[in-house]
Amino acid sequence: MTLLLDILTAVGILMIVVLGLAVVLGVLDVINLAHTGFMAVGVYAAVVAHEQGWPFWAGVVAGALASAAAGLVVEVLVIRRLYDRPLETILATWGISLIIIQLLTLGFGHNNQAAGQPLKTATSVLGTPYPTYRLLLIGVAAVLVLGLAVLIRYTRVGLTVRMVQANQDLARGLGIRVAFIRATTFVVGCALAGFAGALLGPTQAINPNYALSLVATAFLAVLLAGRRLSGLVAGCVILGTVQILFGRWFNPVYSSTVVIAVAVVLLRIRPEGLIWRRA
Amino acid sequence: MARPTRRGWRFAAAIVASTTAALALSACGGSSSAGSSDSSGSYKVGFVLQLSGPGSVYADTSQAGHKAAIDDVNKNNTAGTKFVSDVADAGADAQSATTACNRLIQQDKVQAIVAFVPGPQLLACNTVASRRNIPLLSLSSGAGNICAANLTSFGLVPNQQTLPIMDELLGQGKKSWYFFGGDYATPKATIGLAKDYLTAHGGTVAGESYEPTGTADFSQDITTIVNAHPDVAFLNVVGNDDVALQKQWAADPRTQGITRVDILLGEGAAHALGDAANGIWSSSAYFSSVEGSGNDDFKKQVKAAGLDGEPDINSYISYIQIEALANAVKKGGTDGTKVINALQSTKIDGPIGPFQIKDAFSFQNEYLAEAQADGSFTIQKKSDPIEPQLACSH
Repeated sequence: MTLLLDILTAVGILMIVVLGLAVVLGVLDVINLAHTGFMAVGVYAAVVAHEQGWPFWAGVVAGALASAAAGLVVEVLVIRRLYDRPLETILATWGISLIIIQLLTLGFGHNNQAAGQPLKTATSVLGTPYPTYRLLLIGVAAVLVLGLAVLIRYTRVGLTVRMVQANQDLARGLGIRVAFIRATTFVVGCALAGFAGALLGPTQAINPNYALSLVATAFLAVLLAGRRLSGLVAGCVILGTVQILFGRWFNPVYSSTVVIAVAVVLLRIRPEGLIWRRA
Repeated sequence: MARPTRRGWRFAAAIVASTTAALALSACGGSSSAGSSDSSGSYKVGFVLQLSGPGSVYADTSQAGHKAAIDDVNKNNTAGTKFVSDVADAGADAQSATTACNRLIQQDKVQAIVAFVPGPQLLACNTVASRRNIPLLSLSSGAGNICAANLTSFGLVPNQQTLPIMDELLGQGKKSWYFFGGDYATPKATIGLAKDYLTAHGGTVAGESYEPTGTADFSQDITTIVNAHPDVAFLNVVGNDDVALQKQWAADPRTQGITRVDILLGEGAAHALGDAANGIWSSSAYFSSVEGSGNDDFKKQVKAAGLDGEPDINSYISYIQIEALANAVKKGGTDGTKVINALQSTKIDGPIGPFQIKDAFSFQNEYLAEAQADGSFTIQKKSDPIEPQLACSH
C-alpha cells in the first residue's frame, strides 16, 4: 500500500508542477523556461504571507495571484512580442528566470526561508498511516486535472481556447480576441506555477533557486503529452511510476537516468505524444 | 494607436537581451571588492564562493563572517597591514571556479585565496593557485582527500565530525543505524568510515542508500529507511536536498521513534525548517548557542556585517580563516611560503576559544547539539579534538 501511495504522490507532485507548463506550451507554443521562476514567486509570496501570520491556504492563493501578476507583466513586456518565434521565447523566458532569481536574491537573500507546515498529521489508508499533506497533494492534482479537463471540453472558454490553439487566423476572423486569449492563457499558466510553488513549499527547500530539481521530469512529461491533457496524465503516471519503482526495487541513484531513458524511448516510438489522434 | 516598427521591436529585444546578459553575468561570474579602492600597500584577499546556483544558499552567512573578520583585523591592525577583500562567484561547477580563481590571481593580483566551495571546485581553483604559490584557505577538504602544499583546511574531516556523535548515541543504546547520503564523494567517505566504526563498537548497519544531488521527492527513501527499523537514521545530504528531506521526514508519522542525525545541519537550514528540525542531532565545531562573551561579541560583529539571523559554522569558519590569515601575514609578511607555513600551524584565540591547525588541517573541539522547534540548537556535549583521518598527504 505504501508503494502505491508513494507512486501516487510522485505522480501527483509531477502533475501539480507540470500543469502550468503544459497549458502555456499547449496553447501558445511557448516553452516557458521561467516556469521555476514563477513557482519561486508563488512560494515567496506564501513565505511573506506566512510571516504576516496569514493561514497557509491564504498564502497559497496569494502565491497564485502574485505569479499571475508577474506573468501578466512578462506577457505584456516580452512574450506577446515573441509569439510564433519559439527559439526567441526559449531565450527570453530563460533570461526572465535569471532576472526573477536575482530579484528574489536581492529581496530575500540567498538563505532558505521558512514557510507554514499545514496538516502535520497522518491519515490511515486501508490501515497504512501516511502523511495527510501528501494525500492532499494527490487530491489537489486530481481536482486540477479534472477541472482543466471540464474547462477545456465542456465550456465556451475551453472551446475558444481550443479554436485559438487550432487556427489563430480563423479564430481571429470569427471575432475571437486572440491577443486577449493568449495573454489570459499565459497568466493562467503562471498562476498555476505560483499555486504549485506555494503548495509544494512545505516539502521543498525555499530559496531563489527554488524548484529547479522538480522541473526536469516535468519538461519530459510535457514532451510526452503531445498537446493533450490525457497525454499529460499518461506521461506523468509513466514517469512517476518508473521513478519510484526503479528506486525501490533497484537503485535510486540511477532512477532519474532511467526516467530520461524511458522518455527518450517513448518519444522515439510516439514522437507526436503518447495519446494523439490521426488526422 | 500606431503599431511599433520593426526597429522598435529590435530595440525592445536588445534592451531585454542586454538586461538579461548583465544579470546573467552578475549571477555567474561577477566580483566585487570590499574595502578601500586604494589597495596600494594593503594585503589583497580573494574570497571565492558560490553566489549563484543551488550552493549559493550558504553565501550570506559565509560572506557575513568574512566581512566581519576583515573589519576586525583592519580595526585591530592584526596583520600589520590593511586587508582588502575581493569577492568572486565560483558558480556551480569546476570550470566557473577556475575562471573565478584565474581572474582573482592574474587580473586582481590577490595574495591569498579563501575558497568556500566544494571539493571539485577547490581542486579546480588550486590548479591555478598552486602554480603561483598562493596560500589557499578552504572550508572543504574533500572528505580528507585533498592535500596540497599551499592548502590549509579549516573545516572538519569526516572522522572528526562523525565519531563523537556516534559515541554519544551508541552510549545511549542506539545500536542499529541506517545510513542515507547524497551520491557523491564526501557522504560516501563519511558513511564508509561510520559503518566501520559502528560495527567495531557493537552496532549494526540496518541499511545504506544514496540519492543523487538534486532529488526533490524522498518519499521512497523514507519508506525504505522506516522499513529497516533502525534506532538512528544518519542522513548525510547537503543544501536544498537536506532541507527537503528533513521537511518530508518530519511530516511523515512513520518516522516517529527514529533518531535523526544530520551533521550538515546548521542554524540557517534549521531555522527554515522550524519545528521540522526538532530533535535532529548535529555535530559541528561551532553553534551559535555556544555560551561565552567571545561568541556574543562575534554574533554582534556578523550582525554589523549584515547578517540577518544567527551565524552558523560557515560564518565562523570564514571569520576564523581571515583571523588566521592575518596572524600568518603578521609572521610571514607577503612571502607566500612563509604565510603558508604559518597558516598550517595556526594557533589563535577564536570567538569560542582556542583554534588550532595541525599539519594544515583543523584540530578543534566538537560540539554535539540537538535542534529545537525554533531552529536553535541546544548544546549537549563538547568533545575533545580528534586527529584528522586523511586519505592523502602533503
